[in-house]
Amino acid sequence: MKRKKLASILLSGILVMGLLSGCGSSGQGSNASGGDAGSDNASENTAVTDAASEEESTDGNASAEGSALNEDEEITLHLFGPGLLASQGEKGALDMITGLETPGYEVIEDRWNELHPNVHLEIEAAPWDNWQSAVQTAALGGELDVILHGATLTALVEPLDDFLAADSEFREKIYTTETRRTTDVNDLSIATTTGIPYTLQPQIAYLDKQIFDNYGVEVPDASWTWSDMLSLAEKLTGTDPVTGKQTFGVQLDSMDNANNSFFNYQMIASAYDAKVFQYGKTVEDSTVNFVNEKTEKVFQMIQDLGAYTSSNVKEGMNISNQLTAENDTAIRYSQDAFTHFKEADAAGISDRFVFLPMPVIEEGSHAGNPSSFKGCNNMAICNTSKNKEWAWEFIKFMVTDPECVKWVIDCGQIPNTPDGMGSVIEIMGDKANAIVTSLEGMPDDFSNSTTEYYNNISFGPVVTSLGVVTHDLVNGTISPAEAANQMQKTVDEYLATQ
Amino acid sequence: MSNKKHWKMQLKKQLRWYPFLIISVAALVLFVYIPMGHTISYSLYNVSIVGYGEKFVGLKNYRTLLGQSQFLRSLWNTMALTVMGLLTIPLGFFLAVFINSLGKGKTQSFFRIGFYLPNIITGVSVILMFQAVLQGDGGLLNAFLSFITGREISVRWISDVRYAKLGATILWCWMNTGYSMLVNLASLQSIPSEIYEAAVVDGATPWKKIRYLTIPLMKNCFTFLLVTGVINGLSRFTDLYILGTNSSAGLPGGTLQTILMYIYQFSFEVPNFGISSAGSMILFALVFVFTMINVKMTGFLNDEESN
Repeated sequence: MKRKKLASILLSGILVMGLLSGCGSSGQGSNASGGDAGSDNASENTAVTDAASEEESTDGNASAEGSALNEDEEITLHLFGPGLLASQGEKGALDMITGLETPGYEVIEDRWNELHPNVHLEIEAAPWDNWQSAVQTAALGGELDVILHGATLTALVEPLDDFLAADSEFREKIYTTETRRTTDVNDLSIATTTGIPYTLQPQIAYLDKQIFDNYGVEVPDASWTWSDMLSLAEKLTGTDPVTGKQTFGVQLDSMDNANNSFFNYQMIASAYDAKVFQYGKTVEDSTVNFVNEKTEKVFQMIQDLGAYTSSNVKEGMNISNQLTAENDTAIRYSQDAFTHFKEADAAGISDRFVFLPMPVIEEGSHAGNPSSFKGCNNMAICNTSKNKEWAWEFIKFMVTDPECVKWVIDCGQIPNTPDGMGSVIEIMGDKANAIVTSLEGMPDDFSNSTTEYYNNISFGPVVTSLGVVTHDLVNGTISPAEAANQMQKTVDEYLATQ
Repeated sequence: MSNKKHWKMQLKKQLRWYPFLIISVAALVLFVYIPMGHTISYSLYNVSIVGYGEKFVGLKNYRTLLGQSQFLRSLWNTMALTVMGLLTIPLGFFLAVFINSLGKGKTQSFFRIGFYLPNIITGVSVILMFQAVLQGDGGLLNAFLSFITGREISVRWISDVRYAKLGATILWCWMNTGYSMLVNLASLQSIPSEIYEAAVVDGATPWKKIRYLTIPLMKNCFTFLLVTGVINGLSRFTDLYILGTNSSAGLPGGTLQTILMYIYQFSFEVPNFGISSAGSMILFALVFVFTMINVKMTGFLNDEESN
């Protein structure tokens, strides 16, 4: 009997231990396991001692109150979020297309520790899946300092305008900041800086010179318009007179992801100055009007361009943005121009493609600039951070330090500094002009939630609804007027819930 | 020995096994009931980011949902896809009858494994493979239909609003008919052969044997498949999410957005946990009501008790 009792207690104990061990961190990969000094994978740079944590909790408060940085204090900066750090990992990644090895974020850690040995970095790079919820959960832990790609999470981040105002020299060194209109910090009528990008991905058009030549059509210059694109797409769709293969005029961007296909709308809307949002102080004070002539013109352009896309683009599957020798599309546009250049260069076909800025803005205060839209990897300061000054220092370091800029470029990304862009120009040659033109022509505060053309965060499921109507327009199942009405209905129903 | 003493001894005897239940009960409470309680609570609040200023709004989230065309459409889509997905039950039954008729041996094993194989393959792989099958231009299904009919067929099974539900049902059936077949086959083989022999003596035709013997005797099996089929159908997500270009929008035209995708949208894409929690509670109520109706109508529990 006793043996049975003993056995049952032992088994129960084993089960409990098993359950609890499942809750523990593996400590592999990134440096998530702060304090786990015994872990084989725990980096020397990120080992966090209890003593350090204690100091952090006291000294950190002093930093938050705006005192000068103390190079003697022991601090641990906690970083969490998705983006380039996650895709590269600590040790680096292999580019499957070019076959090149790209460096991991240990380069960043090493450089930072060289400059600030007293401030330890604890980086937990998260995947993109449900990243917003993951960041929210991490922020609730109360120890987060820097949110990777946090500019959109306005309720969690510290406004950076005061930091920027106190550091005008830094602002002059970079192309752009990330701004949002948010009632979490200010009212909607004010664009607040919520993050600083360390990489930029402006939309760039890639024109296949071979297809243009085969059809005897001249390649346009940077002053082209969306109507020019449509006209070219019409001419270049059909059977290639030289190769006898089917070619398509244009590939709209991100048609294989309904949550990103709004890029097309936003760019064309800016070109036609199709204003939809008029911002008041709150969402309720703001007006949204998708049902107007200019918006219908934007939807009409999407539908017209859709007629000259491949069936894969229409169905949203098997779409590749890669520039290859088998390319069958005369005009493509997407982000990651630097990466696409590297792909084409690795395949020895970079001369075949002309890189152009997106068609020009035709109306409004930004007329003449490219109707570009940019993606980015950004960093933001968590508003519960006890080390805000050091977090700001790290963000500046990440964006401007030559080693970090080199790391960004080595990873195939475009840095957020004109100085860094010089290195990209050395690699890309003339093809970098399209990127420079786009970045220099991008107005401040021109993000996907600050313009009067589009707002993806304050007015409900605009992103997914626009994905649905874009898909339907390209497939010809709804008219531009119906698309406008559908968008209006989405916003109206959301506003009714507020 | 008094009853009390006997009961105490029984309890003492059983007590040593209860620690084994503690883990399961604790896990159940921790990972199911407590989150469920939070979901009920959140459904009464306006919550954009958990822990950052929840505001009590009472039943407003429920009223909002029931007056919102997108939610009502997702509700309709879910119902329609669930009903269409139940096609796996008759398909599984016919396959089971076919396999059973082959008699025990290698041929039966071959077909049994063959039909069940889609259940073993990872769902995501099946979905990606089916994109190639259901593609409008050059898809395998269209190629097959063109070959059979002798004319060009180019139906966009998953990107045309008119056919999307049918295309999604074809995929669902391919993924789930094997399981339905296996359950049907097990039930079919548990029917005593004497009943059929008696029926043959009475002059029953093969059809009459199926109509008057097999189907009534397999009522419990059908009920089980119906209840699980409805529950699985109401919580359908992954395949439609991937088919809709990794978005909860339910492409094309929102025709494939289910309630779960709607909940996902308001949890992770446009965070409003109050709305998504209210949606979750409505989904829970739906599953509960459907299950109760199914169980009641088929007398599933009564039969179990009488057995």
